Amino acid sequence: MRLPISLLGLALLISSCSKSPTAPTIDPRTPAPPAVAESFKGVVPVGGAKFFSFSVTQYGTVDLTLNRVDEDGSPSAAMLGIGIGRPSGTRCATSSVMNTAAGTTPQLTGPYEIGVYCANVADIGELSGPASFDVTIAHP
Amino acid sequence: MTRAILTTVAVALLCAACGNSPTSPTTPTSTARGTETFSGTLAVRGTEFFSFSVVNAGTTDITLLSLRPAGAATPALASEMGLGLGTPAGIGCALSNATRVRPALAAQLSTTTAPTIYCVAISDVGNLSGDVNFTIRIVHP
Repeated sequence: MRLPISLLGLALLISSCSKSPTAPTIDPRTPAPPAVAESFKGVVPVGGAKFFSFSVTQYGTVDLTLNRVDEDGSPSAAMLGIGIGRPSGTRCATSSVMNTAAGTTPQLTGPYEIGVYCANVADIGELSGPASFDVTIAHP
Repeated sequence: MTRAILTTVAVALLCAACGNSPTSPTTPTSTARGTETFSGTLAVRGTEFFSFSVVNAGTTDITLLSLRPAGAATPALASEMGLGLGTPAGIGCALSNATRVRPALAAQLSTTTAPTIYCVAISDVGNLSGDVNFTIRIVHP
C-alpha cells in the first residue's frame, strides 16, 4: 500500500513541476504626453490616400486629429479613413485605423514606442471629388 | 524501507531535473541581407522615394539599375540622377546620404545602417526631358 501512495505523490510532483502559463505582463511605464504637433495638409483623390512620416523619440502617446475636410472649397462632413502605421515601400502600412469625420478632438490615439511612423489619410468611398484635409499629429 | 528510500531519491532527482535551468546564450544576430526592388516612374524635376526596414546593423547597398523613357521601347538612358538614403519625414524622405549616379550594375551608394526605417529617394537633377521608368535595388540587413 505504501508503494502506490509513493507513486501517487511522485505523479503529483511531476505534474506540479511542469511549466505553467506565464501571467500577462503589465507595462509599468507611463507613456509620455505629446510634445510636438505636426501639421499634415494635402489633397486626397477619390479612392486614394496620402501619408506623412514622423519620428517618435520616446515611448509615449500619439494623437491624430482630422481637423477639417473640404470638398469644392467648402467644409465637408464626409468621413475619411485615418490611420497610424509604418512607412513601407511607397505607402503607409497602417496598424491602427478608424473612419471619421472632421472634429476638434483626437480621433485616433495610442501609445507608441520609439521609431518612425506614418499617419495615413484615405478616401473610404464617401468622396465624389478630391478633398483637401488638415490633420494634426501630436507625438513625443 | 528500501523501497521508500528509493522512491524519495527518485522524487528528489525528478524535482531537481524540473528546476529552471539557466537559458543558453542566444545565437548572434544574423548577417543575412534581403533585397527589395523599387520601380516606378519619375517625372521631370520630380522625386520618388521608397521606405524599408533594417532589422540588424550592417551595410546597405543601393543600386540604380536602369533608366528608360516612360512608355517607349527605346534604349536605356545613361542620365545622371540624384540617389539618396535617409529617413521618412513629412511627405518625403529626409536624406542623410546622397550622391549623383548613372545606372549601373554595381552599388553606387553603400552605407552602414542601424535597425530602423530608412528611405531611398531618386530625383531628377535637371537632366531629364521626359518621364522615365527606373529600377533601384536595395540590399539591406
